[in-house]
Amino acid sequence: MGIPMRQAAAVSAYLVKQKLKGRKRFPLVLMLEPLYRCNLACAGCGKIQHPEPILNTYLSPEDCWAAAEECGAPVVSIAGGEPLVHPEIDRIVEGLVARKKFVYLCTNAILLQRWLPKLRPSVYLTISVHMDGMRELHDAMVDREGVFDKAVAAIREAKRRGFRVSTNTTVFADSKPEQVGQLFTFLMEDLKVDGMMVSPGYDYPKAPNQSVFLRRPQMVDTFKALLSMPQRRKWRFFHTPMFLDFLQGKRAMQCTAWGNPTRSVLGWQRPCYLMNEGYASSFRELIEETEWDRYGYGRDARCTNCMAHCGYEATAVRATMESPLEGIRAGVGTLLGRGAG
Amino acid sequence: MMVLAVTPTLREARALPGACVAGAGARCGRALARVLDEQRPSAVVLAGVAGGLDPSLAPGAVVLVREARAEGVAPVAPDPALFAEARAALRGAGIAFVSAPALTVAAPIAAPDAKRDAWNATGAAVIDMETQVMASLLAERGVPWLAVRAVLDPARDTLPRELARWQDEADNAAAVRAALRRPASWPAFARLAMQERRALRSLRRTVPVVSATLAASREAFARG
Repeated sequence: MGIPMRQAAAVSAYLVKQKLKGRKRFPLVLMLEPLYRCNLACAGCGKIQHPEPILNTYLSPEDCWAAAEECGAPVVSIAGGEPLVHPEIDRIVEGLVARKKFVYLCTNAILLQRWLPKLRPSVYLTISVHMDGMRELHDAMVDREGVFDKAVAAIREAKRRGFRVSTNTTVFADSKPEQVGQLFTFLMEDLKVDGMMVSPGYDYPKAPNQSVFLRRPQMVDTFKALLSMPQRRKWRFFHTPMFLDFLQGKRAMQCTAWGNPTRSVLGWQRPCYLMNEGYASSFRELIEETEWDRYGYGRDARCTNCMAHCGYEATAVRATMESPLEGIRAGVGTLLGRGAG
Repeated sequence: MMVLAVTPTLREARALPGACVAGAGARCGRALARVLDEQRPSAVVLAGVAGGLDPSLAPGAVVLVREARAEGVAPVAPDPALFAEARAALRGAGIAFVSAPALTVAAPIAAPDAKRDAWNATGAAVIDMETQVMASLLAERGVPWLAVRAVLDPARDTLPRELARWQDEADNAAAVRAALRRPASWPAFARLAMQERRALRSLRRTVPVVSATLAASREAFARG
């Protein structure tokens, strides 16, 4: 299976409800960043360059739950920083699960084995491990030797304990399609993860290594090559078929920046998870006072090379809901866990 | 201060009182040069309908052109201060719009796949047959300009094949004759006619606001 049926049903019901209420803009996934502190300094990361006082600031579990309730999105992706550095991450997760939010706990897995005994497997909880390549490439991308092996061991242990585990792979300019394909096959067949997420790198102006980022035509070529490999049939993605079509240049889409609002230690980040033009003090202020039409491919230079799932998956989900054929295709993809054909 | 609205076709000009037709397609540059020589406007608003490339834009959506692009030539952008004033004025007037590049091509792009490829390759929100040519001429002559386009056929729509070779209004009669011979094209033409009404309505609301911005700016410039 790909995305759990319960999650697919809950998200579909949520979308129908928004439509019936006539809401023009509504969130699908809350990107929750309870801290910016990380135990790695990855080449493509634009989140960890904050000054020390900000890196030392953590959202409390109560702040996190309040953000989830205020926003109302059915899915919460806990990112950062490294969420497992947060001393109360188990309470944060437990509170979100209790609120019936589908939680994706994103982690580099260095500390995962330490936390597993304190977390409870649930249909609402997916541990999403960052994996950028096989051993050599991954360790180079995260700039530390041994992280790949730690992540692999933690994934095995999490699966043994009954957790749902997915992976999150960022594709960079120096990730060869064959290398990524090899990783995907390893994740699916050897580690038996429940599903995978994939996204092209975003060229954060603050990221230390600017050479690793793809440009849009390169991205499309890379994803075309990657998703047309014969072993593709064995890969399960936690994405809509439409999003995977988009990555391969088969479908035009505009970004839905408000689909994945970001709540960090500094507030509600404008306008999206990747770009920062300041913070709103409430979710309502973020939605109502941001000039959303200013952002997107062709509209803002910073969006030119962005094809990230935090902007385009929301577009794909909404478009899927509006097209019966795409709905069936996505339903079959969910049942088979395959995503696009 | 005379601010002149210039459109490619008479149909568009009829929607905008006082607007002047400069012709569509390849001949628009020469026609605009004549208009400029005769009327000597202090600023120009380039207005018209366009094909949508940005898949989020519905028929009637307004694009304030941030940059006029065409293959093989340098893009032309309006004066940044003027552009910012126009954006603020449209926002103040409560008009929904996006500011994005427009792509000028030699012939209509009819198929959704071709529109998708043009969108992926250029990031232009709309496609037309005039803006880059006319904007280049205006820039060359030092005439301040802004361009507004309203979406006629959105990115997902296929244009009827009778319009594939459309260049200017002289081709209208031939397109109508060809459509009459092919009843299968009638629903597409009917849909296009409805979309055109929406696009022209958008232009009627938008162009006066942009013209007023240009007029105020020229007056302020003249006062020194």
